[in-house]
Amino acid sequence: MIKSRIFIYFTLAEVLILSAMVVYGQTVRFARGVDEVRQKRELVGRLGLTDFSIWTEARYTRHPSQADFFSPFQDNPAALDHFPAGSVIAPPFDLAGKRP
Amino acid sequence: MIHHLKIIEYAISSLLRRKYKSLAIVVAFAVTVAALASVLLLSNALRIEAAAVLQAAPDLIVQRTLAGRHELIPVTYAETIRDIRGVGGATPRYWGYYYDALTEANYTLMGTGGEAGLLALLEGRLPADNTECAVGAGVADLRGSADSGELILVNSRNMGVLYDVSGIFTAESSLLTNDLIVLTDTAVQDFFGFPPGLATDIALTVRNSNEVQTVAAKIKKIFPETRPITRQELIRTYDMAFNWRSGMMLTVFCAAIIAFCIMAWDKATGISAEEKQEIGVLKAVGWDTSDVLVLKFWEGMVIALTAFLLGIIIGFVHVFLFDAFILAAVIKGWSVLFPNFDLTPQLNLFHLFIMGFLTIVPYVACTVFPSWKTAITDPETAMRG
Amino acid sequence: MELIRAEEVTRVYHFGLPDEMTALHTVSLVLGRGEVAVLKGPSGSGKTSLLSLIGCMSRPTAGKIFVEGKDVVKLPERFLTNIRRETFGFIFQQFQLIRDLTVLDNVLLPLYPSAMGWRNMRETARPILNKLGIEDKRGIRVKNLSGGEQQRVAIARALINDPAVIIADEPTAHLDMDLAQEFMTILADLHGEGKTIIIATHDPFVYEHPLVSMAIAMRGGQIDRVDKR
Repeated sequence: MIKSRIFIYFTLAEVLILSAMVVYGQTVRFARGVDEVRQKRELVGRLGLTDFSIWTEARYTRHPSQADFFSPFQDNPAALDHFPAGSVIAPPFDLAGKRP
Repeated sequence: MIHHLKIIEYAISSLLRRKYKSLAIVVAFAVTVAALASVLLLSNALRIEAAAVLQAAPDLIVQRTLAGRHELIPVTYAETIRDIRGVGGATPRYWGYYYDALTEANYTLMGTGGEAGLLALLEGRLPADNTECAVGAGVADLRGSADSGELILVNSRNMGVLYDVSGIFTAESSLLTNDLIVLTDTAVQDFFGFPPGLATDIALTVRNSNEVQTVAAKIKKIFPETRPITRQELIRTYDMAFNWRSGMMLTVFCAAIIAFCIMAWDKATGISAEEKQEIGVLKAVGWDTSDVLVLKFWEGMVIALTAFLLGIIIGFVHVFLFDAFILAAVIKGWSVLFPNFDLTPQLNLFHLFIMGFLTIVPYVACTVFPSWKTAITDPETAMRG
Repeated sequence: MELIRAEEVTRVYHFGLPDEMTALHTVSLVLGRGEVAVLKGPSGSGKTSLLSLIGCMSRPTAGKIFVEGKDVVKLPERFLTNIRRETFGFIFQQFQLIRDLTVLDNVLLPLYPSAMGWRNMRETARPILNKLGIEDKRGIRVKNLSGGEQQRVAIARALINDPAVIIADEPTAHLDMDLAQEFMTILADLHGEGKTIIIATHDPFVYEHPLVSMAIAMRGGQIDRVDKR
């Protein structure tokens, strides 16, 4: 019953690889991550940073947490959002009508 | 157990009899899952990173708005706000955006807010005077500042200004600092031509974190044209930005689901006469209806499980070992500067379960159900095709 | 000793539909253990339909069928499958082998649903393949075999569960004279082992063969005449 055995071993191997990657992430990278988080917090705290520097194409995509409601329509009240990243990120939390 | 193993054996033989089609389905399925997994893993890791790192952001940021747009805020507001009970400190912040025509990139120019000296994620030090700057790794690469030790920018009066680079932020911090140019507050004000007595916004510390909302409400009452932004709102912005219902996830999700539906449709549009006849033969030689259905179940499961696990592994490797380079190219938009996604590996079991449920279950169902009618038919009728 | 009894069985295909067709009409028949019975008649006389009902491959529209004293018509599907698997070995007209599977895989097909282990299954198949002279071809795909070899694979598959009854539907339809003779010799051996054999054919070589103990002539879905030899 070689084919069924190969399938079972292959599936187990896939599960093992996935588990190994998760363990690697939780241990090796986590250890590095703990220090890095502390250092990043220091950076954020001392410079007063509020957003990740991901989408630099427009100010409301660069600082989504600071953006005012109308920035995507800055050219005209009826203008469409023309920056691609505008469709990737949701509007800021408080402007989306939700309160914590 | 042995019964299932034998049926798995036959199921795999059956799949190998059409090995190229089976392989094509495994590949398409795995790629679909990998795309879905990449988006879920990246967005989840970013959400967790944001929640961890932005805990150190200011308790409150107070902006001023005019006609719905962000306006500069008088520095005197900080003095009034400082007097509100519960406020620990109120610091005017000076920052803005700079478009570099040379590289067509946007940078964020930021004042130090009085901070000086060293930082763990800064190679060098923060600027000590108005002629110095610290730059993000992305800016340094784009402008060659690492080699030259200098940066020239054009200010609001259209004059070139030369800065000495006192420090470059490390690549590990690029998610926070990639496009950053840090100057002293005075240098920022002079560069942008801030009118005297005005700042970009005001950063507050609140002594008791439970009183942040109360303080925000008080500020709104005193200065109705302001917009206080709490740290929690800030973190929740990123929670939502990388939520599965946002554009990024939804777009890739929809594309993946459509690809999936095409595959499932191909299976669900009925089984061939050859397959019907084979089921008839199996029943004629003594296979039960349940044996036939178990066979179809395993035919679907062998492909679905193999492809699903492969897809998750590929997604995991793509996001956490290769910094999501394919996904980054897709979501980059028009950004000239884009950071490396060097994130701590996270695997959310709930997401894994949802993905498995949304992919494996429909595929197996599409393999079993078309065979149902033939499986319950008597062998003589089934063999007629 | 009675093995199979059919009482007033009727088989109607596509019942209630415009293309409704009555293949069998109130047919009654008794077959004893050890019998070699032949159903003879032209195409459309109902031979295959009767074989199908006797072999529990379908249910009659009306009437009763008893196998070893058990009324099989009302049995749930699972029990019917057990009877089909344990009592009958079917050799189909077109062999109905899975062409891309090997000889061994085809022969072992009836044993997959059983609790028998893989090694035991191969051990069970070995003497049967030897007897039929196809042991050396066990790893060859069926599509690469000749007509005669394919028939022997079909016979081996029918024998793997050691059934009491062998049913063959037009077994010599695609065979030449030599192969047909070979086939009847194999059947004679099986009969010698105590098996009951039922054959549907319109080949005179088969229904006039000395092995046959009972010839049932069929016409228009009914039994015309029964000759016991």
